[in-house]
Parts: sequence; structure tokens; C-alpha cells
Amino acid sequence: MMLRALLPPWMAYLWPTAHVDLIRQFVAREWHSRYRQSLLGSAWAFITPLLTLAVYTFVFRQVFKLRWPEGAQDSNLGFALRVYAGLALFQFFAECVNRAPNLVLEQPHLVKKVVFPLEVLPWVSTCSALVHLGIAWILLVLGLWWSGGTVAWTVLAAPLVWLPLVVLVTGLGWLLAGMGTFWRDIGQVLSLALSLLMFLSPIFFPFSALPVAIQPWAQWNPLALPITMTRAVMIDGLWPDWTAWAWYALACVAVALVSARFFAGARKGFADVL
Amino acid sequence: MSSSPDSEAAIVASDLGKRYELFAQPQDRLKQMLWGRWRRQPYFTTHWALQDISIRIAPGEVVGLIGRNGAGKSSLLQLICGTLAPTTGQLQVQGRVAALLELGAGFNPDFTGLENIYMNAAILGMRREEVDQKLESIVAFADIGDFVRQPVKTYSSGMFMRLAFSVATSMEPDILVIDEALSVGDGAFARKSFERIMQMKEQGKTILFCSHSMYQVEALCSRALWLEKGRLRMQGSAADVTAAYQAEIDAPQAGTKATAAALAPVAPAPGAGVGRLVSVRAQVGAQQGTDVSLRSGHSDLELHIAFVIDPLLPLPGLGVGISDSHERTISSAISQEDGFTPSIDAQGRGSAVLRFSGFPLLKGSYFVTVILLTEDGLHPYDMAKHCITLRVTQDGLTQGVVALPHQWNA
Repeated sequence: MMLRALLPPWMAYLWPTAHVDLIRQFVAREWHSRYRQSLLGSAWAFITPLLTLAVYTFVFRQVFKLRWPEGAQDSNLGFALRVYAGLALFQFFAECVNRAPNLVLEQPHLVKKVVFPLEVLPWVSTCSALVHLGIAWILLVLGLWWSGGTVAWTVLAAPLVWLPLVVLVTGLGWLLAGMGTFWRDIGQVLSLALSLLMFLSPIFFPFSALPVAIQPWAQWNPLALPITMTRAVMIDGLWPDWTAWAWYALACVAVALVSARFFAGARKGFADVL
Repeated sequence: MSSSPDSEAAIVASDLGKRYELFAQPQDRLKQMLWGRWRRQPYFTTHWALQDISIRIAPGEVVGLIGRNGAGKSSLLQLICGTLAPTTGQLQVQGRVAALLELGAGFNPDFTGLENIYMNAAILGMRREEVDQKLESIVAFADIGDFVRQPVKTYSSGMFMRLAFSVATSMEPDILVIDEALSVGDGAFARKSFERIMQMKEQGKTILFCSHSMYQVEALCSRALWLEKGRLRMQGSAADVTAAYQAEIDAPQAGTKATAAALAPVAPAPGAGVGRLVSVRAQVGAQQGTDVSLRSGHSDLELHIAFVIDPLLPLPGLGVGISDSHERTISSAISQEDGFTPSIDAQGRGSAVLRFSGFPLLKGSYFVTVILLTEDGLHPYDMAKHCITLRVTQDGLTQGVVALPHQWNA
């Protein structure tokens, strides 16, 4: 508490303990509005990833006849799980980033009519997406168990592997929500960039399959490291490289801090443009 | 208690100013924010919405805020609520502020009333336990019965407004900021919300009330502030300020031409808590209708007013105003003031006749506006603006608007 008083208020954006209740209610509302009035309700949260997985497996295995280059497991399910470990993480990233520019735009009354901690909005979208990432974790563990392999203890490290990405995605939320409120073009550019990122990220292939000349550049892809690490802890039973993780986490926190600072400045102008 | 008087005030503003920066393009705003401070030529032109506002409002005061559109009323309210940041000056607001700026703006139509109560309360800054405690009274005030478990999109607009108002006022604010929220909703809701505001007034809450209805400001407020072009034009007792303001808007303006509008026939089927005017008809001798000719000082004018009201409501009042073509009110009559109460039958139908003998207005065209009022005269159920046109001719050359009773003596 003492420490918080000494820090500039925008630093507290990273640690919104005062608004946990608010975030929880918003996340619950999003969950309900997504699945309410559908026949299967929340079951869709499980059905959708399974169907996506089936489609990707079919296309890449049966149509393109792809094999996982490192060839660890060559069953359909094994391939599917490797793809899914990367895809789930990409979808988490894409969902948050895609929504970010509209977070403030969509809620003008929260800007103009009430005094509202707008900085929680990216946290809400992150937490909503995090629920789906959690479901992906469950599906992965079930899939591994089903495919007959042993489920290594290292799967428990997955949340820790994802933690920096959570911070990064929320930070990008502040940045993009702040910019998107002024520049409505951001949304268009982003959906293009995201579909490009999907094929540049090591989702359908391991990072090591990239040409060596490209690898140093590809490492700057914010998804490269977490996807590779997720595969390591979930499927290969390897503990993460903690030094690499620490550097990555540091970079993510730095991005989030800069973005929080930007958002704190930009929000003063929100009421005037909405 | 502190000794300094200003630490006891609910709202203190000193030299408050709000400048809007007008940008030709949205991206200029971002450029200005990022590197504008290092440029000599800013990217914007400026507009001062408020300037040099110094006010002090003591706890428990009820203050009316009046002024034309664009005078800066909304900006001032938003500053006090904290949704806008002042450009210059100091603003101290002590206590919890509840803003009735736009009721139900955050409601999600797909969610039930209960869910929306919790959500809206959280947005307004209430903790969950606090909502749990007050839930019963919130639902009771909204008076929507089992609908509280239905999605809000199934509500009538009246139910929606009641629920939103109930949540907004349930947070037990120290300061209530009202921006014409009461001019919406049906008659029953308007009544009820007005009652709650009166209750809060009695509890000693500070209320800042913004309205175009001088009548309401005078009835509710002890003091009034008149804003004009972003500056404080006048402050003082509500009666003085509203009178001065009224006089200013009444000042003849070229180009205003009032048109008489006949009252549209309304099916006499009042809903719960609603009252409507059914017809207004003028009678002068054998003439009848909505457009009549009179001879000043000779004709007797009778206004036949028919209305219908939810029979469960207290007996209403009637107000009649006569205005000239410059929208200046020449004279008015309010049934409560005159000690008259119109009666109604079991279906809620009622009528009244207002008679002016030897109509004293001098030559010119005048318009009659009829208002069906709540029993306390504070809120209108229905209004028929300019429903009757009076064309007055006169015999002599007397100038002016009205012939006052007079006599000459030697």
C-alpha cells in the first residue's frame, strides 16, 4: 500500500487489485452474453476448439499430408495436439489484440457518463480470453492422456509460461485501445497483421523448422517463445529455459509499462472524441 | 469539523475553466498529445466552454443550473462528476457524487434486471456487498415485479427508466447531479422520481439540478446559477435568477413566429400512473374551436378542458398559460393556486372550464397552453402547447398588452 502511493498511478494499471470485483463481473457478463440463448450454452466453449482442431488436422494431415518435422509422434492426434498447443496460444493473443482497438470505443457511456476505471477494460478482455486458454489447457491434458502418453508434471508450468504473455496482451490492450479511440483505422490494419502473424508463428511447424537465416528475426515474434515453451512443457515434458523466460517476461512488463503510461495520457482526451 | 469554511462546502470551484480543443482531423489530436507540446503552432483551435466559474455550494443546498443550450451547463455538471478534467482553476468536490446524466446507459438488453442492477451498480462504484444490502429497496422502488428476472429488452420504457433511476439513486450519494433526467419517462415515473429527489432534499443531500423548466427550478431549488456562453451570468435566489433569465428569453426576437397547433385527439385510455389531456376547446359566445376572435374588454372567453387520468392517482391540477407571438407568457392560471380541484369519474375522465370575463388583453394574437399537472403542481403529466389561438381586436387606440382596471378621478 505504501509502495503504491509512491508510484505514479498508471503503474497500478498492471496490478488492478482494487477492481477485482469489477473485472470479475465484466468477465462473467462477457461469458454469458457469448453463450446465452444458444442451445448448447457454455458447451460451445469446448465444442468450438475441438471442431477447429478437427478441421486443421484434416486439412494439414489428410489434404496437405504434413508431418511434424521433428517426427516425435506421428499419429493424427499427436500432430493435432502439437498444433493445438500453438494455436490456442495464438487464439488467445489474437482475440485480445483484435478487440483492443474497440474496447473504449464501444463503451462511450463509461467514458462520458460515469467515473470509471477504464484501465480495467483490457484486463477484462484478457481474463475472458484466459478462460478459453484454460479450457485449452484442460483439452490438451485430456488429449495427452487419451493418446496414451504419460502426462508430465511439467504441464503445471504452463500458466507460468503464459504469465508474461498475459501481461503483454493487456499492455497491448492499453496501447491499442488508446490509439484505436483516435484512429479508427487501427482495427483494419490489425486483422491483416494478425492473419500474417498466424502463418509466421510456429503454430503448424516447430520454430526449428524455420530457415536458419530467418530464425534470429523470427525470434522477435512475441509468440515464438511462448509457443515453443508451451509445447515443451505440455507435450515434451521439458521444463522451460528460465533465463529465456525471464528476459521475455522483462520485455513484456516493459511494453506493458510504456503502454500503461500512454493510456494514462490518452484517456484524458477520450471524453472529447467519443 | 474544520474551521475553514471552504472545507465544509460540498462543491467549491474557483476560476474554473474548460477549454475544448477542436481538431480538424482525429489524428491531429493524437499528434498533439504525443509531440504537440514541443511545437509552436498547435494542431487545434480552441473553444472555451466554461470560463472563470467560481461557485461555492454548501452541503444540503439545492441549486438549479439554468442557461441556453450550449451555455456550458453539461460541461459544468461533467466536471463536477469527474468525467471531464478542468483546464484551469480548482474544483473541490466533497462526498460521493451520483450523476443522473443518462439513465440506464450501461444496461445490457439481453441481461435480466437483477444482473443489470449488479453490473450498473459496479460501474457506479458500488461494492457487491453494498448492492446485496440494498437490492430489496432497489427492486421495490423500481416496482417492476417479477420482470426483474426477465431480460431488460422485454421491459417497457417506463420500467427501464424506473430501474435505472432506482439503481442510480440507491448509492446514497452526498451530492446528486441531475441533468434533465426527469424530463423523460411517463408521468408516473416522473412523479415518483421527483418524490425521491424531494426526499433526498429533505435528507439534506446536496443537489445540483439542471433544467430548462423554470417552473421546476423554482419549485425545487433554493438557489440558481445562470450560465451564459460559458460564464456565470448571475447567481442568487431561484426566484430572482429564473425571473431574470425568463425576462431575457422573453425579449422579442426577430423571426420567431409561433404557430397554433391543435391538440391531436388522443384515445382516452390512460395507462397506470398516466394522465393525458383529451381536448381543449375555446368558446366565445357562439364561436367554438381552437381559433377564436375576441373583442378586448367585451368578449367572455371559456376554455373547456377535458382530460383523463389513472383513477388511482391523486386528483390532478390544471395550468393554463397565455402567451404572445414572442413566446412571452402574459398571464397564467394554476388550479391549485386558485383552490380549485377538478373531479374525475370512475374511468378517470374529468373536465374543467376556465372562464375569463371581459377578456382584458389588448389587440394581437395570443396562444393558450394547457398543462395537466400532478396534484402538488410540480410535474406535468401532459401539455398541449399553443393549442388555442386567440385573435383579439379592440375598439379604441389604447396601447400595450393588457387593459388594467383603472379609473380617472377629477
